Amino acid sequence: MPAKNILITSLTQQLYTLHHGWLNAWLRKKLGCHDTAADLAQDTFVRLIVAGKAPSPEQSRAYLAQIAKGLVIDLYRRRHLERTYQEWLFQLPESQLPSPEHQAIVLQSLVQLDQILAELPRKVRETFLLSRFDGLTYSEIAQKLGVSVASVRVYMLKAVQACMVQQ
Amino acid sequence: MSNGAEQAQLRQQALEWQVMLWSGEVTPAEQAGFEAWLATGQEQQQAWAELQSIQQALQEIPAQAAGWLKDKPKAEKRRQLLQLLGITAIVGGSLPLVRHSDTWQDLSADYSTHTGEQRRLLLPDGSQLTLNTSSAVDIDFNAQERRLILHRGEIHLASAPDIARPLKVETVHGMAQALGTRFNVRLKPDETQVSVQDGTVHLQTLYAGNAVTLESGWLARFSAYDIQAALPNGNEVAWLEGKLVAERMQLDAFLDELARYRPGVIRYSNAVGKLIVSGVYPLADTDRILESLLYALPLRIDYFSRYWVSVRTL
Repeated sequence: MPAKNILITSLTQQLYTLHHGWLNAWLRKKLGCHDTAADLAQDTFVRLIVAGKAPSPEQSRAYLAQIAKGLVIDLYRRRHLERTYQEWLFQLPESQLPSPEHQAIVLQSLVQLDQILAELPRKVRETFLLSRFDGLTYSEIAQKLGVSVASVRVYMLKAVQACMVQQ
Repeated sequence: MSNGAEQAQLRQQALEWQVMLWSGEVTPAEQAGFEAWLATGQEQQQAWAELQSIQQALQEIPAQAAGWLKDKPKAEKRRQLLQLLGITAIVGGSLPLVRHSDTWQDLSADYSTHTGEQRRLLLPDGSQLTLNTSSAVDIDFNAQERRLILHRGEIHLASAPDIARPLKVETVHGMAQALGTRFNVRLKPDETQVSVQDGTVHLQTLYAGNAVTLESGWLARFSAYDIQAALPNGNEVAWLEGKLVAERMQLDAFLDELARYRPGVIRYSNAVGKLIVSGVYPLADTDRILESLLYALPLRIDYFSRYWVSVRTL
């Protein structure tokens, strides 16, 4: 393990000892669920390690709170998608219901796609959704968004590149 | 083996082809270009196959998901506009209602489905319209008549009685007029096929003035000039339940049917016509149908891509 990583890991340990208690309590209050709060508190520190940079001591609290807030938003977003997907499944005739495994896979794709799209510029996102879900041709999208077909192609390429990277 | 830079380049090429194929307006030259690229070698095919996992994941996400995903103001506005116009058209299990407009029971709208999609609509007169895969229909209701123009594909109608306003389905071959009834209309390249599940339907060819009244339980095919002798119904409306039913069906005919529900092409050798298929297959998963054929019949199925399937006898 390179020296830098050891340093960060030991810093993370310090931060964990110092901050895990309040972070967990804060999340529990916010989410009203002991287990989910514990999971998100763990995830917060995992994010910190993945980010590979440690905050200065006086900023640690704010930094951790910011990560945790992001995770809470992601969780809400995920739940929202989960609920919407469940509602949609609920309308399907039983014969057309996908298996639970398949449902889990689709939900996972949905959440991933949502995250990918959230980070793309609005026009790229719109283009991608219009093409892949509304079934519009590139000419139709170009007309709708008031851009050239060449731009539509560029947007599509950006979007699919983002999907590829995430994968 | 190619090095990292070459792989990255191949990946980029695959992405560019994918973007081209998604255009919805691929020219034969573009298609040929893609196929030539794919045939260049194994590395190209590998890069393409990797990309197809994304394509597949996307395809499995329900079309409605577009509305659930991150803010999508334009589509949102469009939906609101449609609702203002009294039209809601959302695919799904519950029956979307095409509501009365403020003015009258007039409705002029165009509906279509993509390959593999089915769509159910409740029309303002209470009739239920279902569109099968890759179909397009114009609805033109006014005070005198209820007119549907089938441009492509297949529809099923459970019509509500309205003596004052006859319900007609028109195709390039002629017209089918419902007399309070359930019936199915499929437009094929050279003929229109109507099968009646309930009540009676009056058929009339576009030219030559040939006409016939078709009873429940029967089907008839007609061109713009002639009407063929009526036959008993088979499994014409199995698609309403999302099924493909084959009763001792030749495999080539079966593959043609399957291809209607699947984007891309299914190519097969002439010899497959000698093989016979029977069974009830779920249309929702055409991959699985192809796979199940492998267990039942001496076949070889090659996937050059998701869109390009070749079926041969062993």
